[in-house]
Amino acid sequence: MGLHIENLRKEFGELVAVKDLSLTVETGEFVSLLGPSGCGKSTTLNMIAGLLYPTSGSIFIDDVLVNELPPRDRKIGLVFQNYAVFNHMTVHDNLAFGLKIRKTPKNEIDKRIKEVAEFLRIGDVLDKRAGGLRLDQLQRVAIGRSMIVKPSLFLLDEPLSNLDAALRAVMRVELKKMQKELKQTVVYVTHDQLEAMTMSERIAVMNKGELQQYDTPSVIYNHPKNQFVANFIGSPSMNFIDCSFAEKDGKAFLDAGVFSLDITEFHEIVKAQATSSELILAIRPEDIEIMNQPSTDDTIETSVYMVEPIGVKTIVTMPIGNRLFKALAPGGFRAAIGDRKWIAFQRSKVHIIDKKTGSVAV
Amino acid sequence: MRYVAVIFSALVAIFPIYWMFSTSIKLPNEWVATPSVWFPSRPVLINYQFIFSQAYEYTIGRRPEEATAFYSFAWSSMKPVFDSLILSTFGTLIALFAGTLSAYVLSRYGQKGAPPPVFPLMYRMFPPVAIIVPVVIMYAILKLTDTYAGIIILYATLTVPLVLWLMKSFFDEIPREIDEAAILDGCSLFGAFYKGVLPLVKSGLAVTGLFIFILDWSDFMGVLLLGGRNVVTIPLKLAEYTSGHGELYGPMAAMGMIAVIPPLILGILIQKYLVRGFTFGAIKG
Repeated sequence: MGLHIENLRKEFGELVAVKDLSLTVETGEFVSLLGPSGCGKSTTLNMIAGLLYPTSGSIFIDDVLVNELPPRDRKIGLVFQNYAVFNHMTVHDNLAFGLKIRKTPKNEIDKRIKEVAEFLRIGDVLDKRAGGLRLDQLQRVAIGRSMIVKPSLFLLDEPLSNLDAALRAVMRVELKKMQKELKQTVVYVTHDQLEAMTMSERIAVMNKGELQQYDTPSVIYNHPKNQFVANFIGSPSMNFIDCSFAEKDGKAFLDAGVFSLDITEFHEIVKAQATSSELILAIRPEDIEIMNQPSTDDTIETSVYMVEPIGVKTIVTMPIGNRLFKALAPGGFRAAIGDRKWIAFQRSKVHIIDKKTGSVAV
Repeated sequence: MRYVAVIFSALVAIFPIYWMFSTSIKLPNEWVATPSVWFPSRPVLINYQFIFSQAYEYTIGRRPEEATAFYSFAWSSMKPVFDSLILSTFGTLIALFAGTLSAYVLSRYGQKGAPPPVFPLMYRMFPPVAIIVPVVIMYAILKLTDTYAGIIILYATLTVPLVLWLMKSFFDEIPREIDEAAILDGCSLFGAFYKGVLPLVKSGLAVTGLFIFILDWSDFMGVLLLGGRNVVTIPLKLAEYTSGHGELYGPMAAMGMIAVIPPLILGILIQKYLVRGFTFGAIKG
């Protein structure tokens, strides 16, 4: 196993930054820690790196308990958000820094620098001072400096957030490719769901120090475990509306006031899992169909509130009850504000959430 | 129009130095002549000769052996220059050493978001006269009066708070990740400071050093009350030229010219760091 965390906990005085986190990362796996700022993901990373001492719990890297080991003996590489490259040194000296302190022989240092520089394509700036580099070169130097000590675990703390959108897209691909080539175990901290979704094999979604869900990107997207994950993943985010559960003539309904949805097919599951009749209906924007006429019984009448074309798709906002629903229409969708429309939910994609516990029943 | 303003302000800034320089090469009758002598009629070096020789008679019309004990030790100005250099250099170095280390610790290990430490600065909030009297008494008991060590300790302790404040602001600008990166690479905590962070605040250190050096260099009160016999600095020597024995503006100006030199040399030596140091923190990117 690349990394195994057991009941990891970190308290800063009153504040519990990480709550009993358990997580396993297989060797060669790319795992993202995803969550809003302040969710404890960076704290977790710093504990793995050894920069913070956990309040309780254990961390195993390559099946070795590293709780008491200093950072340098943990066989890790850490790339910081602001790179933390030593500006006053040349790129060469930056790369050599860790090796020199580890008393690596000089010819070995030179050999490794050559390899890394070639791999990261920074061979031409080796003699330049790091202070004068472009952001993406700095990024490569930061990665190179961590890579050169051949860590068994690579930790990346929001490494792309300082880059502009275009460069970020480039580096995302490069990082992923690099990881594949080296079969490197990576723990990647980010608040950007796009990065997490595109790069990771598994995502650990965190909120308020707690692990919400740990699974593959597609499971997280299609089967969120609770309302937080459902809301956090996806852009534009999922639509939610409060409903009450009603049974009539052997059928089950979700009554949202302005409409009522037949959920007889989920009857048993909902009945078994719901703690009360207060439920939340959730549906992704792309699972809402917009129509010009009412078709089936389940269509809901509404009007266009706002249209935002984003090229390949168009985001259409429509009021339903006291909520604004967002739907994704094809790029060519045209409508004027105030137009009457009817919408239908794609039945198989509807999620039903228990309002009290926040857990997703369906 | 803009150039006129620039030239005018430059003239205003340079004039006192020009006046000092021209006075230092004027004959005595031109020092305070009315109307003012703007350009010395005959440039002479007697003022410089005077301060570096023992031409004491010239000063107050008495022979050296008649001079009071207070004057007997310091005819020549070599000693004040030498003393000033020694005291200011060591005072500055000690203050930089202690202040920088404490500043780093406060910046990195101090409580996050805690207000900057005001207490150390309190020292400098009183008029110097207010604290110098107890210091004089303390020094008398400790037998530090009129010793090099005593004055150096005085300079260092008085300036450490300033170093602490200045350097802390420089350290605060360096992201903690620099330290952490160094630690991850296997540095000790001190190694992270010394190899990772310190080189990045070189300019700050240079500016702080120059500032402290000039403060020490121009101290008068401290050495007036705690020195005098064994320890004579340039400001003290300068005062001597006006102490009721006639106003010796010429030698004063000559001495002033010499006093300008060491800070100037120091400034030139660290010039490449100065501009960066002065603008440090002004631009964030």
